[in-house]
Amino acid sequence: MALQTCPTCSGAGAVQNVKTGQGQQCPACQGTGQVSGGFDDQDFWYPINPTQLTALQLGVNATVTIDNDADFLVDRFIASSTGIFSLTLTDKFRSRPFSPNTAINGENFAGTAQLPLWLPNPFIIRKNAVILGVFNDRSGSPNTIQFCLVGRKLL
Amino acid sequence: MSTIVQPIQGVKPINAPPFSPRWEQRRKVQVRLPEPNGVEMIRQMLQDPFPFFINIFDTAEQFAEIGAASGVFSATGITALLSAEQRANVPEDFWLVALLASFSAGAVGTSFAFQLYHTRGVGTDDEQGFVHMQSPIIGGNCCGTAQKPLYLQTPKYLPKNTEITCTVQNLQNAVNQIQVVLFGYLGEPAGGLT
Repeated sequence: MALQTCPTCSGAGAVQNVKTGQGQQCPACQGTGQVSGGFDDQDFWYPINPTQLTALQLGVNATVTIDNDADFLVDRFIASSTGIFSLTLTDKFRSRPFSPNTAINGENFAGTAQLPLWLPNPFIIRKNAVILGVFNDRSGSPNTIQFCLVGRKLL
Repeated sequence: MSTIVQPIQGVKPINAPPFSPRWEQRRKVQVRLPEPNGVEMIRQMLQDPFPFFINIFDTAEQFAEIGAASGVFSATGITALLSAEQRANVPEDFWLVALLASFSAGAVGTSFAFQLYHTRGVGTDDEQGFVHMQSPIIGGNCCGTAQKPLYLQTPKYLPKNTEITCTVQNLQNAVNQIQVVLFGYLGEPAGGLT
């Protein structure tokens, strides 16, 4: 990952809040003074592969663990399935779900490789974090699902 | 409301995306993402913005809560040509970025109609809220899918405890499984919680 001087604070790591007049940590680089230009990063896929769901089966858990070598910057959700499904996704590291207690339909959660759900603001999953998916079949037939977190490692 | 940050005096400001400049191209090639300045504001307002999906209307959830007694919902969806309301509370400060929906009956332009409202909690500075649509809008005209979301021109800030309400009418003469999702970002306000 090629680093460059943060263009927001020009490497100072801090910016001035015009409302308060106080300095504060640069929100773009979190005070490090450097950001990734993203020009030499390779895409990376973390798949979540639940066992095949039976017809209308609910609450099938599956997880993926982020590798220990780097944090992961997710910018796309991609999924494929043989039938419609819903899921609840949770970042176990933060103990934070991606939705309220109810499941979100797959059509509304993830796109395809051709048309992914691009996250307008990518977010970081910490190394070693466990992402839990709880899958439900809505098709009424056996359902094979793969849900992918796609982005790049922050090496 | 907003806390605008500027570079330190004497430092040349450049508003480049801090994570990846490639998304600027994505919005031209793939889908129309929100305006860059809007996304930048999310990043500045919230520390560590976290993607969040709020299913503001979900026939499966409605059936689980209400059951078939109302005559409106069945296990397979909302009954033909009927309408229903549902609401959600925003658990933390939330930036609404896109509207998504799925349905089981009809086509994009004929499946259901949708109207969105939001109010803020009692005691806040704007209890009146906002009606987002003059009248119900066909689902295909106000909601996309995960493949092609309807990104708002400018992300909408909904403070913690905002109540969002919607009305959905099934336009099909058949049972319809409908889910409408608000996609956006949750996060701790920049500078920490107070």
